[in-house]
Amino acid sequence: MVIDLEKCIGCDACTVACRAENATPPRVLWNRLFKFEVGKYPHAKLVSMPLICMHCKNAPCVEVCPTGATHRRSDGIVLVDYSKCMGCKYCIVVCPYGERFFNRTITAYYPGNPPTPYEELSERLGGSRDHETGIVEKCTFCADRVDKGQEPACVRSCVADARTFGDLDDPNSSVSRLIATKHAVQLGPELGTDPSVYYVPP
Amino acid sequence: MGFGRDTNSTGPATEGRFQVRFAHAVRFAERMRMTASIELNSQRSWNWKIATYLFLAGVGSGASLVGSVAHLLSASFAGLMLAGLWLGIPLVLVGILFLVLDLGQPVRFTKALLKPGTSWISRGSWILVCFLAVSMILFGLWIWPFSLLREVPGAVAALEVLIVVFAVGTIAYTGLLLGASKPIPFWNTPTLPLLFSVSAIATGLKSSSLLLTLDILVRGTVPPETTAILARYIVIFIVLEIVVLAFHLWGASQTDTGKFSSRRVLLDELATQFWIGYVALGLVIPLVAEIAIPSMAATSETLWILTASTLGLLGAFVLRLTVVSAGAKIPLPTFGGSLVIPENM
Repeated sequence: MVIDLEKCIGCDACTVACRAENATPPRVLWNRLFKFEVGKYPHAKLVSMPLICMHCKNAPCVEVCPTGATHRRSDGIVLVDYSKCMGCKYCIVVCPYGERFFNRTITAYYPGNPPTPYEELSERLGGSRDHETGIVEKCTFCADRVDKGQEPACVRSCVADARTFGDLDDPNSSVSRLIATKHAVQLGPELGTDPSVYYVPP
Repeated sequence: MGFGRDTNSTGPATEGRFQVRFAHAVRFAERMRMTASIELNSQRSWNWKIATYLFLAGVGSGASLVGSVAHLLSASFAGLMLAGLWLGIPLVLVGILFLVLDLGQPVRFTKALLKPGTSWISRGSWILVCFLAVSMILFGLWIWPFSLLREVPGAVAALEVLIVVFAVGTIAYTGLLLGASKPIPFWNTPTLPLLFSVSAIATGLKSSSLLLTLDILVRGTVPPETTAILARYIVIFIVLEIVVLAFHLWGASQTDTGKFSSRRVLLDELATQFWIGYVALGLVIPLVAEIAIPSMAATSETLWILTASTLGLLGAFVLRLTVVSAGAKIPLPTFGGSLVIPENM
């Protein structure tokens, strides 16, 4: 995935689309938007930067997972097999991007009230929408959408067309061409994790 | 976001001497904050349960290591070796219980053994299983029908060598477990496994000394030479621990994030538990007591051995708790700035 920070307007549409798609529990956002200042006056500017799981090629979380719950699919998407995760949180401790979330308890969206039809539906749909306590979850790149040939929800919903999803291994894919033409970079390349998310600098 | 320095006001004006003192404190705090380049978050995923586990596994395997090494060197240390087993097996088991309780899905704990190729949790689980298995077999040789096997030449020694191997494995792995986290500079150092190892051996000596002294009190036998020898080694290992601790704090402070962790330990919110709980009660008092013990009368000697060992053990727990709580991640470099990513817990 390539995220163009020149185009990002910081509207949080991706944040909301992610929650709508994956029905993450309250207080858990697999897509988070950070806003900060770069540069010094008079050349300072406010940057909006969405942060998601980087789906690293050399993922520390995959390496340290003692159960094999966290694994990397052949297409490069890093996923957690919820039935294998025992909740040791080692992956949270080693992730340099802080993109893993432990479901200590899952509260209803409206405590004291019955679950909303949306929450009930999420549970029935299962997969990434059905959240279990005591395990670690994270962005799945909307793997089930990708399997159906669709783009991840955050890419589909981006109003500024800042996100592009594609195959990094294919030199002619839209993402590969964007990386070449717009000099997109990985976050923290010195960490040696080789992330699959690239950012066009602001 | 971590860039904003806290801009606390100096609070409401108060009168007299208190005001002066208050102003001093505020100025001191401000200076501290200015030397810290950014405010970071310490990790909160692992807490006191992991610290308890690291501590109990360290004491248990340390005691077994001390006992087995001593008995391999001299047959006169059979009591010390048995004390090691009496401590090692239950303490490591209780330690594992805390580790399992920290899991989000405790019933799935057996899955921890699945990936020893890359995960230190998996490797450690195998080491613990092997350590417990060998310790229990050796312990079994003191139970009646199997006690005949003790006559087999080399059987006890062979088991002790295996215990030494797996005890060293347990001791080293507790530090390597934390050290494998590259984004946490306070843990990712060569000195942390060393610090935990020296501390584990020291606690092994202290707990053995405690158990043997209690044994003497209960059964009223004449104090053996063993506790005096243990006292000498406790002194050596406390001194070693102080040296390694200094190296660790110095080494970890070479990066900004590591310096933030060190500052948290030495000056900020972890300072009380570190200086009082660990340095004063866990290192200095036991060190002074163990040096003074040989010149004491018998009754105060017993009292001081018990006090020094207990305080030393408490200190070792505080050390683990402090190290676990102090771990902070390197902020993510972002286009000329850096971003402190909050931990959702």
